[in-house]
Amino acid sequence: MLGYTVRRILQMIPVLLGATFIIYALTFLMPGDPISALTGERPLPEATVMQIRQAYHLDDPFFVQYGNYILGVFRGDFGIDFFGRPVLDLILERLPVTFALALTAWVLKLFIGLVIGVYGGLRRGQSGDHFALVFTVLFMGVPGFVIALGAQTYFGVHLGWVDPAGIRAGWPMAFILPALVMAFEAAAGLARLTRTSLVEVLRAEYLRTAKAKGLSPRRIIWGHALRNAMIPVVTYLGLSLAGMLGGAVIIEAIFNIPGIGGLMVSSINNKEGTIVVGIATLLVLVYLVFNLLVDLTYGLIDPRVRI
Amino acid sequence: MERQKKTALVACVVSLMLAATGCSSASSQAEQVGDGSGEATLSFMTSEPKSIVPQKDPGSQIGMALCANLMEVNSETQKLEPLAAKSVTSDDAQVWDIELQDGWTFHDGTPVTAQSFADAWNATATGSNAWQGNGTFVSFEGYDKMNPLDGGKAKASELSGVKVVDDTHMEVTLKAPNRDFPAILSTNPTCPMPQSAFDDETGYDQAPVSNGPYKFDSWEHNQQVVMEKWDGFKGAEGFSGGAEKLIGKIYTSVDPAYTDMTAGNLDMIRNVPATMVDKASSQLGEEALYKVAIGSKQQTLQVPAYVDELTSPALRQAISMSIDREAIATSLLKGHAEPSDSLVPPSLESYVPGSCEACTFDPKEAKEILADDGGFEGTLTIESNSNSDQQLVQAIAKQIQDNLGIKVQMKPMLGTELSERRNNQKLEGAAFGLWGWSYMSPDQYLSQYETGGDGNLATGYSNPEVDKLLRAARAEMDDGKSTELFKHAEAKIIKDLPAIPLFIPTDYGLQSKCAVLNDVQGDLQYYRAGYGC
Repeated sequence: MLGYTVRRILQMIPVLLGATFIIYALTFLMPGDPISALTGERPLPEATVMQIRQAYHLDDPFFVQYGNYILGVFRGDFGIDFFGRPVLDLILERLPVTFALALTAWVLKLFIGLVIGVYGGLRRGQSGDHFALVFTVLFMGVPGFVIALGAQTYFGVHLGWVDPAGIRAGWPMAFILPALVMAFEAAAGLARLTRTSLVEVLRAEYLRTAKAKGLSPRRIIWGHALRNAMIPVVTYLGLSLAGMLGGAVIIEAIFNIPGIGGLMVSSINNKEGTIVVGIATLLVLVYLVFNLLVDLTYGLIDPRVRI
Repeated sequence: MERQKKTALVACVVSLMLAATGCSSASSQAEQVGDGSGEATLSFMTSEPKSIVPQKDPGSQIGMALCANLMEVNSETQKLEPLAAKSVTSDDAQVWDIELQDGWTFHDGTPVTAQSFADAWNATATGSNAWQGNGTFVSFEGYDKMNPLDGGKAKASELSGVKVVDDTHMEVTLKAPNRDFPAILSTNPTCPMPQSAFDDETGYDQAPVSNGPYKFDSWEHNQQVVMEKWDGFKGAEGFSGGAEKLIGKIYTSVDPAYTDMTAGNLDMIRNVPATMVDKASSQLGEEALYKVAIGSKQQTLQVPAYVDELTSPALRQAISMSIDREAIATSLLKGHAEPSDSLVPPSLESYVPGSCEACTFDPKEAKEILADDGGFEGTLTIESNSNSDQQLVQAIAKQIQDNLGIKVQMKPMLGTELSERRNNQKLEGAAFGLWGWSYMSPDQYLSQYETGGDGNLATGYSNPEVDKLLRAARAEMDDGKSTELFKHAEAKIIKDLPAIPLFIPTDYGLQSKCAVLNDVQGDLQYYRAGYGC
């Protein structure tokens, strides 16, 4: 297991290098000049543009720019933005916000999704199951931003229970509404997956054996059925947490949450390559780590998978 | 009563599911604004500042509040007046004498001297610092040596045109005469900086010390910037505002800011998008809407001189005459814009009504002019920023296509790409442009049409006669004579239509019950707002 883990971690290095290279190349190839866009429609004087381009080595060939960047990264220097602020500071300022939102949403989703899924799976075909189906289909069908805007207007403006925008109220008050919206949206998928998986496992022969052996229903469900039904669910959960960390752009924009996603979008618009690569690298790293964690968790749940 | 509530609730839940826009109760929310301490607090919308040092972000509203410039527009008189200066004078518009006020200090108590200005200007003009205010000093003598165009090493570290005579006197020499020099002194990049700014530059970036009506208090990144009224400010009332405490609340876009305002958590928003204006006046009430009296911006269709198919002035006239500006302004823009009929906005002295004769809608004559000119084969492309005014560009494109019977194609792209194509003269057709002034002067508009002038790359227009007239207008210290020269120059330019005037958009601000917005010569500045609670 230790050898496996070390091997997996070593494998991350070429993946990370490849990812940074591709992303750097893509931002480099994107049309547009970041300097000329700094001030909107009124251009900076030519001499000023020249000086800024020089200060940021924008006229160097691509490989020289990329080489300088990677060397900097190995020294822990992720570069500076066009106003002289270190990119690492910009990311680190926003990272805790994104983590707080994603984790809150993930835990809520875990709870909501599992409860609905397990309930539906155990009561297959009964009215409770049908209700759960309607509920999940509703949240899967309505676009996320519609639910977000509606919840923001109703709970934030009309009822005034929480601030509709921004994180000045801190955790948990500022995060609860957006996290709930994200949770309900994602819980639908989780509930469906859990239900299907559980229904399948309940039909398995080893459960009939367990029943024939005279095990109590509680033991059968909690010890055998759920444990086996959880294997696909764990994969899904691990990757969805990674996805929530990088993919909450729309929710962040609606609720004015200064997370990584918004920074990424604005940096792409402004062609701020160093920021884009910094965030993307970080997200790739998060995905790799979570993938590893998921694979390691398999072994714990399913003794047949020994790594 | 009970039943009403229930119906309202049901309606809300329904709208929550369907449209997600209804049910905002606009009633009795403004009272919540403030922090409860009884202190006159006003909050305004801002994005996370790239920098709050005035020299590093020329358009920063926070920078404006923190700094008192040598000259500024007094919001009570709406005139440019000396503020940190006692006087700024010149006989020839090229060599300027500046006398500073006695006894003014920075927020930390250190005196503001002529050297504080000279140091700040030299640092800003230093190319390798890559501060964005750098371009402000392009007209100063000695700028070229500090910013060589070939990208080589700077040959000087100080502006040779800036001389400190003593603590309260300085002399500035410009490359060429410019009557607008006092107005340049009212912009962010010309703010003074104390010695401490240079001793600890990173510290200053995060907590700048300046000399303006508000002093910096705190900056919680991505959340808010707090400023407090400074007791030591010696300027007149028209240079300051009513709030004791100013909070710049940070939003990623105007939509959540607007929602926060309907919830009573925000006092002021400037640059309200036209699409939001009507919604705002019905949800927040008429009195929440502040209409900026002076239009300081202009939308044009830039026609580059280097695109061969578009060089004929007759073709440009025909295009201009085929656009029904009046109809677009009233229907699509819902009256939130005025048709433009000149290369400068009507608020300027040098404006001549109807100087653009081809700006009158006449599809029949447009077609005739085009036919006489030999018609137009091929496709007219209109390049524009995909993030703004797409419907407007579409309407214009459609009118040209329908009324002239030529093929028109829209080419929306990211702002970064559009400005790159403009600045490298790679446009393939016309481009939709928005221009505004940094200070109120015809030169701010007309220099776009001067060879090598500010913004000239977009059209590439060059006319030696115009260049001469503009130089003469700039050098003329007499207001009336100068205005005549600017009028003369505009009349010459408009004949060639390097840019087709389209609209003067109306600017709106939103204010809560406590905020009383105030603009200075068409620029809505948050810190000037009065407190009305």
